[in-house]
Amino acid sequence: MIKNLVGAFLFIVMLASHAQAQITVDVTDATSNPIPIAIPEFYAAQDQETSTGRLSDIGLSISHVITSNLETTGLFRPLSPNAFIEKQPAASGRPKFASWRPLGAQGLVTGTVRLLPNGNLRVEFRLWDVLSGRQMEGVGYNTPVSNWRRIAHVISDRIYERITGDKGYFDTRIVYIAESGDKLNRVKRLAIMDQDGANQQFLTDGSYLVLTPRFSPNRQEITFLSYYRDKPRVYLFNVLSNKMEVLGDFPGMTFAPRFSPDGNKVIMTLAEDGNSDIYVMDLRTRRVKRLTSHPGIDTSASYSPDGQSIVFNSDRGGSQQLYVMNADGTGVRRISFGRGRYATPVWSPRGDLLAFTKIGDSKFRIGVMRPDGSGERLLTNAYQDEGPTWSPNGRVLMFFRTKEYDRRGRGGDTSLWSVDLTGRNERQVPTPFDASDPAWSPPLPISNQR
Amino acid sequence: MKVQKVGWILSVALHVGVVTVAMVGLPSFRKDRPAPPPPIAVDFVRIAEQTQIVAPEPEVETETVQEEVQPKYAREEYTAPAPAESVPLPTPKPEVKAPKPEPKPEPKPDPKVVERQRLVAAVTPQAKPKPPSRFQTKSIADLIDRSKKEETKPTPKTEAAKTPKAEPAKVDPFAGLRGRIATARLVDALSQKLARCWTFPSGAKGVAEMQVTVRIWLRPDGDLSRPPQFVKTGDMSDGFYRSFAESAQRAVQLCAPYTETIEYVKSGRNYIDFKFDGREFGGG
Repeated sequence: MIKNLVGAFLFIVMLASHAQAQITVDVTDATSNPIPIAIPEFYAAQDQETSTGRLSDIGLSISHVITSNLETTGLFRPLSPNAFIEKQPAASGRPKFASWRPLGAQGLVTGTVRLLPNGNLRVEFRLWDVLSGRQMEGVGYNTPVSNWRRIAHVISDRIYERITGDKGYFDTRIVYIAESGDKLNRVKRLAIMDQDGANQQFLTDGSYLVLTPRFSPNRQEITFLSYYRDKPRVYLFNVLSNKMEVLGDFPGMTFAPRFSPDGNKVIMTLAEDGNSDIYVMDLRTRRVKRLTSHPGIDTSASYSPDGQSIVFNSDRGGSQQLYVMNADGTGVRRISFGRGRYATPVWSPRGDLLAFTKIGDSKFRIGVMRPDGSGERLLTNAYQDEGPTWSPNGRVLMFFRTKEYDRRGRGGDTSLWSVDLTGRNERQVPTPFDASDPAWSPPLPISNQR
Repeated sequence: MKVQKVGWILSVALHVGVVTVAMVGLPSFRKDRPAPPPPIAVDFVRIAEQTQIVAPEPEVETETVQEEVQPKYAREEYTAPAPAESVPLPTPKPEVKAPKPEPKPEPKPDPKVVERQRLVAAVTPQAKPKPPSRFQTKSIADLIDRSKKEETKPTPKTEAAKTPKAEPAKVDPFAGLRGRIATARLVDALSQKLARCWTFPSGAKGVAEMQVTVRIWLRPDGDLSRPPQFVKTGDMSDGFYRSFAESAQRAVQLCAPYTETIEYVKSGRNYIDFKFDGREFGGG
């Protein structure tokens, strides 16, 4: 009985004390709204004339490029400059946060451009947390004036990384096939551009066919298939040194080349006597090793980022499906079992997903799945999307889209598109001509990084 | 003779030519390796230098002073101006506040009454021990039954005089319960509120394992009395985790003021911990 009384007393005391305790609130849900960020024009201390225009114009253009870069990610919502009270806050001072909070800005980018005595451009920027009034990032760059656009991409990368924790992908390039001329007799040129479509340049003159360009994951090197002098061969092109070389002579036809994660090997398909199998070539020794040996068509091989596994597609089971094997060719296992066919698998640089082209229901669509084949998701739903390539941080895919032919025979135009892993943020990448077969470069090198 | 000589020379020259062509030319014909296509030069400009720049200091003092003050008035200024002229309703508030100080001085002149009240208050704790003496012979079940009866039956007026002494003992458990319910409601409301303020970049690596606890200190009006601080964090040197933690910190700032906590602060508590958990975002 006394026990019961003591229990009741303790219960009452517990209730009373509990009511007075400090509380802890669990927050397990969040919005997926983009983060509002203000990117005012970069301040030009002295509005001088430079080799590429007025300094104030460069400051304005840099802020525009950063705005465009961040906006395309779908993770940021750059605010309209019309609402800014301070139009050009210099990066040298602390901003008046009271002017930015009412706009709803959570991030603020301030920057300054000026000319150095040696004629180079000095660009400084700071990223501020508007709510806490704290500087999150502050970096200055010296560079030739003509390089202002790259600086804008580099700054975009820093902002992206500081806020999301992920590496940015703005200071990168895309190599692709530029298509022009009659639909039945296309001129296909190897082209390269910045990831946002700027700085278009051609690497081949269109006198011979080029296909399937692929960037090295860690070097500015491209491997591709070319019909130079009507002989299909895999070539290697170094973007920095402008050197091109034939990867090797093989008895049959070689195609679908792709680099290993360390950039020292190229895996490709070799077709001989009507049979296609996967081979790997060591670029240092030029030795070739056969990895698959099956009567079916094995092609489109892609390494996992750790170099331990390879995904490829094969029709050995009756229809075109995805298979994974060890890097030495052993342990082949099928991973795709859904309806339809699967093609062009590419392993994510993060290693957690595989991107592929799914063919079915009279459509070609881009999808992702885990390396064990689970969690399949289709990200696009157009008539014909194919050839995915990953951004270096593994959060965005680029692919090419072919327009459906209408009754009048119009269609067949190809264009480049990007989509993020949610599938909601789909955007066209501008190109001067029809474009196909994109491949994303690794981040461009920055020298003297401190 | 001369013709023969010329013939010999021609013959030797031709043979030498044929042998030379066979030795030099044939292997390269056999190779049949076309030269790589001529590449087109691509401009590639390197960034010369990159340096970290430190946050500017000189203006910090003046700016931060303003920032501490602004959150109080900034919100009032931004909410008030528009309706101020058209809606005079908010003005009664100061009127209510104004008379409050007036009644206070009135009770002051009666110190005896205050003393009596103090005495009463001092006596009430003595009343608490009395109930146990009643319960000595009864079980808790009886106790509960009795309390139920007491609730249902209207207590006679004769007992009413005693109830002031017994009431404090009754109120405590139920007030605790009520307080607990109110706290649960507050926790729920705050959780939902923060979910609307927390913007988190989707697709972050390893987010399912990330957790961070942020503490806020509250003023009586529900606004933040000082900047929020991390209570429990993971590895802040990891870029993914740092962005996760900072997004949580932004969320608690964005959600301020916490007017729903006014009663909570009145009860003597002045801070709340928010535990942000990323496990729901692990599905990719």
